[in-house]
Amino acid sequence: MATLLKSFGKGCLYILVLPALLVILAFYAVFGVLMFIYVGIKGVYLFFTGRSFSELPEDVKARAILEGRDLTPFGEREEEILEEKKVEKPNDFASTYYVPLSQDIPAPKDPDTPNEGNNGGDR
Amino acid sequence: MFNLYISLSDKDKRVILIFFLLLIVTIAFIAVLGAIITRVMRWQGKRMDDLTHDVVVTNVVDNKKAFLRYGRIKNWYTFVKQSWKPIVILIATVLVLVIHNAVVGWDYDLLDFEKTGFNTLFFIWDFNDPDIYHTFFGIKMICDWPPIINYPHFSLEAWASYVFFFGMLIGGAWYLVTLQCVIARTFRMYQLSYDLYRKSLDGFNKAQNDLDQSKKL
Repeated sequence: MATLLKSFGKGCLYILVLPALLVILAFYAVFGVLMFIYVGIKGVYLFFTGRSFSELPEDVKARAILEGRDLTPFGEREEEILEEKKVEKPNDFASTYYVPLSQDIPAPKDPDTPNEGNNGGDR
Repeated sequence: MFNLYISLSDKDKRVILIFFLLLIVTIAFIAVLGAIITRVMRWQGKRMDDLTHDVVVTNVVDNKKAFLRYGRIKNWYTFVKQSWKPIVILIATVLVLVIHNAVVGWDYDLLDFEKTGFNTLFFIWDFNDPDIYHTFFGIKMICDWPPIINYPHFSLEAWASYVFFFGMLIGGAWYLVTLQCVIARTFRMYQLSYDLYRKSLDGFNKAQNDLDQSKKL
């Protein structure tokens, strides 16, 4: 009985709000046609410019993350790497424009010279 | 003491009974219809979850405003994908009628029930018959079945009106369903934006808050 009364009440409520619902539906019907024309024209333009109709930049980014690709621009990636390694980025002139001196650079190995140390030396 | 006596004839009682029965049946029917529509809309709204799932789980969209913007665009794009078929049916139907009328003549009656209209396919009752009405408390009410003036029959001359009627019926109903989907997805989008990005202080302990500036002073 309670269920019956509840449905009866809901029926009365629906009757009361029916005009408002119809107004909303009519608004959406008209707006839908306008959106159809707008998105249709935009879709045709995107199609002829070689872009996807419904793929937004967010979709591309999300797909790349899900597929494990890194789309981060190089500059940002470098910052992330530095942050991860806890390396302080040089901020003074000398360290920014540091050029290694000649003694700091290891001399190129001569292929004729026998190897020393552990790397296959005489035993 | 004021007593009001109303004398009702048997016919009056029957009319009252039928009136109340009709009222109850109508309201119950609307309630059932409303419940079905609500359930279908809840099911249609789930499409919004599918559309926004990837950008939410990957945190590409990380705030309410961006989510609503993204959801709105996706919603209307999906609507266009769904509604192009019914819109093409509606346009084709109108074109068929316009071409037919341009050839046959513009005095073609779509509503005719004898030869050219789609009403040839339906029962037509004569509601202008005065014998079916009865006056009840000064209100003129219908209280009998009206006489039938047309039985369903097929008329070859009415083919254009058949195409128009069924095209409009199918295309219109289909378009309304897609509109219902849009409305359902819109509701779901707002519900999701509220559920996903709302700030709640339930279970928040101020004493354990590391961001509290007053503790650092």
